[in-house]
Amino acid sequence: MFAKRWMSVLVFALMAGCHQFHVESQADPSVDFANYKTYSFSTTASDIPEGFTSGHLFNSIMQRRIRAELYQELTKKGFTQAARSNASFIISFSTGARQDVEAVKAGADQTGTGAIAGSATRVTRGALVIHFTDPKTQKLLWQGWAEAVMKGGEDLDEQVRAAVREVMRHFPPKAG
Amino acid sequence: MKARTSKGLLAGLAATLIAASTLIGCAAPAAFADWERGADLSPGKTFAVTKSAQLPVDLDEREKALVTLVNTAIERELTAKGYVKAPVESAQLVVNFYVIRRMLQEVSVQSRDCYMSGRGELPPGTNWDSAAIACEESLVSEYQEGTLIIDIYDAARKELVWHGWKSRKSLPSDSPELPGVVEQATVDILSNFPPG
Repeated sequence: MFAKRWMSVLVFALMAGCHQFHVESQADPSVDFANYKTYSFSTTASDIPEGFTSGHLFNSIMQRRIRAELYQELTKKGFTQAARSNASFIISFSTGARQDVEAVKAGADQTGTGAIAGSATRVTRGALVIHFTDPKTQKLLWQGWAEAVMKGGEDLDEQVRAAVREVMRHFPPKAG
Repeated sequence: MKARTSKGLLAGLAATLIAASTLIGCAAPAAFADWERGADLSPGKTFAVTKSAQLPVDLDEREKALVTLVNTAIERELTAKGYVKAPVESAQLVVNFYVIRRMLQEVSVQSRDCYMSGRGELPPGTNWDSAAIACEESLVSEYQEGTLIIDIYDAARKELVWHGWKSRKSLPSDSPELPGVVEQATVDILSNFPPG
């Protein structure tokens, strides 16, 4: 999905309060983010990782929530929202979910339908993906994403806002 | 796996909203909701139930009956909570509903004959962890899940402000249980409204 010149992936499995996210980010190493100070939100959703599907939870409530949290985080970092024509980068994002069948004990690792030796369980994972794109070149400048196991009854507002904050901890990328 | 708007609504609703007790034990699955924090959803507001654009146009008689059932249940539940039915032109909250379906996997773990049932038979040096794993077998199969979704919009802002849903394993569309399950799903979803 990304050219070799992309910086190595930063991987973090972290606990943020009661939220456990797996967070990753990638940045184009040729980009000097000091030159990018203004942003605008895309009207279209970003691609989501392979295997995830965007469902009914990615509705306008969710989209406004993610936009608001991104606005807060970027404002804290000194970035300014601008009209698309004046934006130095465009933000798109998406959320999705994926169902996995996972071994409870080592040794039960088959996926798909059929029999698995050992005990297995069904797990639903949610993902948030954020893309920053250069509006002139359409090149992806930076992307961050978070994954977490979803449990029914969680506070989606709190969970998704926390995910946005955790992803944004890695933007802008550290130079070098 | 991908969620899709149901075409034959209640072939979907039907096929959709029922749970086989074998899947989730006998416990009724929960209904969930997401909403815009800070939105004023307090009782006393007027509401109207409208047809979702995501419902198919060409419904058969059974599907029409189920749509009417959900409409009626929504009106009854909201009225009981203190909301006031009004013409859609003047309603403060606009409510609609639709169904999506998707294929999911279920896992059932079963015991089976294995070395553990006769430890004495195991040869020296046997890995006991591996032996324990072999005593269980997980069967993975696919099933269709249906989700009834109820959306509530702030009419003045034309914004979705509340989104409730309940998912169940699908039942055949001609199941006699279907109307009861659909009505109960509606009640369960709206039990989360208003939030807080």
